Amino acid sequence: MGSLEEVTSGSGIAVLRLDRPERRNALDSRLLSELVESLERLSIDDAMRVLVFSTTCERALCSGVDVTEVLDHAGGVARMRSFSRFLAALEAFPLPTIAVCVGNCVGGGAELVAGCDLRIAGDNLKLAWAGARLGVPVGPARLTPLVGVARAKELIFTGRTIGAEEAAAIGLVHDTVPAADAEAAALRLATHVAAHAPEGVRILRAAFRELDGAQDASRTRTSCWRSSSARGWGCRRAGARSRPGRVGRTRVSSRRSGAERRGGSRVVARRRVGVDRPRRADRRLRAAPSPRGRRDRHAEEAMRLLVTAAAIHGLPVVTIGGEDVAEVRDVIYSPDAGRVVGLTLNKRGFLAGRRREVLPAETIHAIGRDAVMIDGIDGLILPADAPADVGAPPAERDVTGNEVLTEGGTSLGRVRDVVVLAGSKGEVAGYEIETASGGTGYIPLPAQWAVSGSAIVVPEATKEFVKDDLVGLGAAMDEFRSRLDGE
Amino acid sequence: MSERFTAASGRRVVSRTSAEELGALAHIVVDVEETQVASLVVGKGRKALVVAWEQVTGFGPDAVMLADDDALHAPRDDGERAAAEGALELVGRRALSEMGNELGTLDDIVFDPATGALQALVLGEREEPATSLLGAGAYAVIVRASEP
Repeated sequence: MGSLEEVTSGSGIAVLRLDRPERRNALDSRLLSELVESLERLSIDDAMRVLVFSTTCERALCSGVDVTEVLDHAGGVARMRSFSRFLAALEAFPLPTIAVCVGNCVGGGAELVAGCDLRIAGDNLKLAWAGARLGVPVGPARLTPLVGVARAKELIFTGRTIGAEEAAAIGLVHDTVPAADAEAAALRLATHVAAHAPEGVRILRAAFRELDGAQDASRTRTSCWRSSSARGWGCRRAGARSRPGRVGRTRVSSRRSGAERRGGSRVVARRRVGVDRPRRADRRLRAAPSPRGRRDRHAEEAMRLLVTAAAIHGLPVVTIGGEDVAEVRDVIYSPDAGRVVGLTLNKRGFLAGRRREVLPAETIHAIGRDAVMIDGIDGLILPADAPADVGAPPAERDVTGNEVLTEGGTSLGRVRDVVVLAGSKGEVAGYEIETASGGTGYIPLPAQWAVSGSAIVVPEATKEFVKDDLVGLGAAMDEFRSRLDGE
Repeated sequence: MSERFTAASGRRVVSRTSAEELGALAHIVVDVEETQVASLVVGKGRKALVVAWEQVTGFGPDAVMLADDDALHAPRDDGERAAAEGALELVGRRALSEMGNELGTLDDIVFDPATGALQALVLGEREEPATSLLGAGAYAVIVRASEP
């Protein structure tokens, strides 16, 4: 049986309950491992909105690292590394986190509390940083941004225990309730947060992560060795060359439409997680075939192959050497060439500002779902050195909002976005359009067409291929092009 | 014969000449270009010391043997300091395909303890050959992988 209980709701709220009541949820090797595994898994779950850390016993959220766990030297080292990985995973978690602060929250438990974004206190809270008492250098990094340097020093150097009233007075917790109601209060708060647009919340979470200095600390460390001659780091292996591409012009608005991010409702699931749970059986159960399951797999396949320009916005630009050097600001699309011809860029990090360089399509290795890959930072060039279509794209060629007319004069709707083939250097599969009824449709990119500043004329056959989702677009592309070739 | 990074972590490090225990294996540093273990970081008390792979005379199931006590040294440059801090640890890092798709986390690396040659990358339940490792940076490790 594991030491962590996980409950996931259909509204995207996950609750991780520490479940070692006999040790007041002290962190032993297994519980740390389970926490890391859960954080890593939930962090890549697109349906997740908020994560709540709670407990199965009101006496403690977490009483710190379990000093009674019998470990040899190697085991001790491994546990320390697990603890570091847990804190790193918590720091890097892309969604808001809430701590249910009841009973003992001491040492590593206090770090968990401070590492969360929001905190609800039970009236039995006993919160203490034990770093000075135990000679362990933890505490300042997470506590100081919350309460200020002076108060953090006092709490950490003395290691004294504070209760809910004092924690509220110094702004460390946002609400105090009876211990028995703390989790419910945290879930109400989570529901409130989860009701907001998930992408916006993720961006804000990243912004706060940077503000609290965690990212800066990491960058300071990495900057030391990025320029070093350390063998094997930051380098790329030979053999991953990109192919030459074509260029064209015109920019597409890069607002996020979210159409491809829609997901079905999730069934409330309750299960235990742990090293000894029957994972494979669990997976088999979840993979049981059903018509809905097949549909989901088709949807996943389409999502794997197709991505809207809006979804490319904000993606990191990553070298094959593994360094993130920029993020996508705008997608420059040429309706004449029928492809993405380049990208404009922002610096990495929220509010970091625009990057002067642009990224012509020729230097893109692949546009993926999660990153735009380039061979090296040399691919980023100044606009003056880039092809005119990329360096100075004419704004009047923006196809967003253009009416899509068939040759016979039927209006199919207005262009909302372009749909790009994932894994390509910018090949466009079709358009996302807003139909006359206000709905969303997708049309495959025709082989021949005409473009003006306000309208796009497409072959008559296009109207038979208006699909209501990316899955349909993926299926229609080949047939549509075959039809045009036949005509 | 193969060994996993996570299984080897924490293993004691012993001098072959003095039989003294010199510390415990903390990190394994990889030469991405050569797909080879480049060096080991050994924890000794609160210190982290570095030893080049060439100084490792045996990598056994119970201990890592070094040529002599002097093989271990304090970090000498930024690269070694980063290694000593664990900043070059690849296991646990985000994995991206060269096509720009997330592959999850690099959970483990399989290597030949006799030669230090990397054999496979463990990404969740799948394994990719070590030769598919294209690069490793602060943001991610890049893997040439068959897409999931």
